[in-house]
Amino acid sequence: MSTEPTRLPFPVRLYPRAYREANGAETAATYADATARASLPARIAEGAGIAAHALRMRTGLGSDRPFPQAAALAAPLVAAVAAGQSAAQLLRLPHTSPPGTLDGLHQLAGMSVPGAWITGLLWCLPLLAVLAGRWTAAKVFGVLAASAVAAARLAWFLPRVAEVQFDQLASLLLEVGLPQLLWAFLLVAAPRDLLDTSPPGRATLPVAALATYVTAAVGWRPGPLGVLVLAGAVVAVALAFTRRERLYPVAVLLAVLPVLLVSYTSQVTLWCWNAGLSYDATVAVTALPLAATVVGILLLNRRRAPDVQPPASPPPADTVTF
Amino acid sequence: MQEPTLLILTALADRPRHGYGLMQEIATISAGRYRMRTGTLYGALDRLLGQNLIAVDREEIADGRARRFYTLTGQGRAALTAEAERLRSVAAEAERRLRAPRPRLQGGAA
Repeated sequence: MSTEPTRLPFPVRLYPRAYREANGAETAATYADATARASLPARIAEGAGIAAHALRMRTGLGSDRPFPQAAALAAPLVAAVAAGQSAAQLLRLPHTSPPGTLDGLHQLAGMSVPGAWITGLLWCLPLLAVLAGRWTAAKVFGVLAASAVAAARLAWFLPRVAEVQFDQLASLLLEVGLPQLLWAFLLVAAPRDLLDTSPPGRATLPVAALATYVTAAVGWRPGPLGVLVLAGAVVAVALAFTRRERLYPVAVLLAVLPVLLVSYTSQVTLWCWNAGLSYDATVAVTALPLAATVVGILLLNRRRAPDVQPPASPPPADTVTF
Repeated sequence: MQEPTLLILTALADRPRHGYGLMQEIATISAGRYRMRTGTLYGALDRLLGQNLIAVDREEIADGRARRFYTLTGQGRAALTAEAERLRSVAAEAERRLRAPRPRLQGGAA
């Protein structure tokens, strides 16, 4: 069913060549049917959906691959955990030291108080969108929130760039909102056809957000309660093993990892300094979780996707036709 | 099983359908609550083909447009049967409990 590429609609032309040659004509026919007599916004939405699918095909993020399947399991949790963490950060904002910083990070990697309020509130929006069943809006809000965190941190950092040694840039880049970018990436990487839209699936999210809020609000100070966030993350991952989906523990780990990074990066840095590690070794240690995550995601996505729903009884081998 | 997968398999349970036919049938089955877009549909179809839950039944040209018809495989039929049974048992249990007499609240106002 191949067609001249130039005769295909623009969104369909974005597919990789092999996929376009095999499926382009059929996709174009369905697109034409779906947009016939449709309004302009509906046509734009259809085209954007095809373009997004084409981009997934080109980047290995199709819903038949393991990492997007894990991201789809993680996405609801990301919305809940990000909202809980952000709400806890807003609560402790007046108590941070030095004033105007977040996450216990040092001043140059902080952000202004208005920036903290805006980014904190933005990270609550994906949860509201998910609870309303609006996944596209949740993804947009997630990208906006992560971008706002990076922009606010850069706005704080750039006027002070002259004070920074060149060899400090690496650690500053590590702290400029990369955990929040991981959250946004998980939301975007989750394929629409794998996202849980059921009311029961959404009903548990406020509980997850509240649990994150409590652990982050209570456990942010150094001291015995400082292990509360880590303990909460360990319990969450342990509970994930009770679910039938094999990728669920990976999904939970990915969703809670930014909370751990935000909570403990500066503390680990301090321990490294106190232990006499060099600057480069300290940066390597603090960068290790995110670097390992990137490598893990790449390795995971190279493997064949596990069957999402194995049938209860041995299936017949032949194809059913009518 | 996620709702989009359930809807696609259900739409294919009675006969093979092409892409746009699937989109229309999904809107009908869900009483207009779920409207699947073209990009989402083909992402799901790629996955279900890879999982051997559906297969291509035939290809044809109708009204100058290329049509590829998809059908349930035996494995897809078994998966849909198992999911329908699970949903049926949950619904039956919910109805049984709703029919049961409700206990009176203790300690109410005199």
